[in-house]
Amino acid sequence: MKPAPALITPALGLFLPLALVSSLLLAGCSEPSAPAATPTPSARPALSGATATDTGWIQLLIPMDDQAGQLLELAADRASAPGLATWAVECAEDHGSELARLRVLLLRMGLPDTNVHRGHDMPGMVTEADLARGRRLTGAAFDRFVLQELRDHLGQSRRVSRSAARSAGSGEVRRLAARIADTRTGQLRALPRVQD
Amino acid sequence: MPLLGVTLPESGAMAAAAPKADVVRVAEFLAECPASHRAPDDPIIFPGLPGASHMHSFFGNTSTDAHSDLNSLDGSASTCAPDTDLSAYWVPTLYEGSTPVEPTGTTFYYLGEGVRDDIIAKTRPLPRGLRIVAGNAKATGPGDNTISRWSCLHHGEVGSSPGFVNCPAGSMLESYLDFPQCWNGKDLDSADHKSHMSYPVNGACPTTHPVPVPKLRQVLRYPVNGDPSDLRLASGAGYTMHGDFINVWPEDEMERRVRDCIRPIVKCGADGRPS
Repeated sequence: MKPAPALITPALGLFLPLALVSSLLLAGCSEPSAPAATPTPSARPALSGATATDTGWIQLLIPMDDQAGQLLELAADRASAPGLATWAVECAEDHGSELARLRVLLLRMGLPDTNVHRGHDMPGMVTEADLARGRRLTGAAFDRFVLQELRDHLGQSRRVSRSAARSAGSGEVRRLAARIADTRTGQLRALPRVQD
Repeated sequence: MPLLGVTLPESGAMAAAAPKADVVRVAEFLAECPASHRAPDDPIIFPGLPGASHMHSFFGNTSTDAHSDLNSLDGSASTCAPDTDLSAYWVPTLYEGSTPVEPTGTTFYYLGEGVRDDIIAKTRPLPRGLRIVAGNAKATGPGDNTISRWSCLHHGEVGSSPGFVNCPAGSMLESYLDFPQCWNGKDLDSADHKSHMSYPVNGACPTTHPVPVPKLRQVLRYPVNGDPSDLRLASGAGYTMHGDFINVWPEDEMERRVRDCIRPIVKCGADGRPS
């Protein structure tokens, strides 16, 4: 699969997709959100205006949600604190629908669906080691561990999504990022407390 | 000045090519850029997304963060000698256990080697704002397509390896990383941050990337030795070592060095004068 045709041209000094570069050259000036002059009919239209910020955010959120989703499913199964399992079920559903939207955007950007951050110490990422530890724990120790991991995940994904809501090049990406950041606030607020 | 790159095969060939006892014929200038700061930021992979990255150690430009671009970097200060080099250099942070370790030797060489002498003579300055990534942060094993090497200072007998090596007491762990030196002549970056640059093929730049530019060789010396089992990078194992670079050299300073040091194959120091 070919990567998205985005580049920085020395002449413009900006990170722009090829289509936008040509429209700038033709029109002289344009807004990333301006409608394309000749929309191409397609089941999956390319993502207009997307930059390295959009790529970075989408390629980070997908593995973050994937990994957290596995921990949420474990929590839905195993949590003992009141309300935690129910919360985890709802939160896992939110993560599933987010992932579906993110993967559509990824496809439209022509990017492969691979975890480019595997093995890295990514802030807030639920790692394979975290999942293995979660599977070994039970009772209150499991609840405390899961709550800490998920608080980190929700907080970090809210942080990068707030940034993407401001900095992403594509309006669609900015809107999805803003929605996810809002969802995170709700999820954090509803996160059950457990006694130490 | 320590002999450059004694642990790397291409550098060994370079040293052997010295025509006279007292004149080493090497196309080289350099910048010595001590560690500046650490941050979970990456202006190439995660532009505009502060805190999104694994931990990085930054060298050279003192302002590098998730929002950096050529303009912001150009108006800032540098840890480099010469301080005219405002370039941003960064690598994944090295940890010994849970303690971050910064390299105490931080030399960024710009070299002509890697292509034939007649091509070295045609080297063009690195364009301002050019972004280059080297190494493979996603490597899943030591054989996974990485050019980065670890070795031991003054202990060539240990050899070099994509993974961490066990350096004798009193030695230092060294990281060598050569950046690609053939540019496509058009783009300062690309979607995968790699395809606008290429390594040479058979001593020449390929037709897809026809413009020879100085080869950046990053040499970092970390004050650690012994059993490396306690070492890791923020990106994982030793073989995930990688380097990122945004060129912010002033155009005239870069041009002068390419003209006086690289094209005529002359060894220069940090001031860009024959040393």
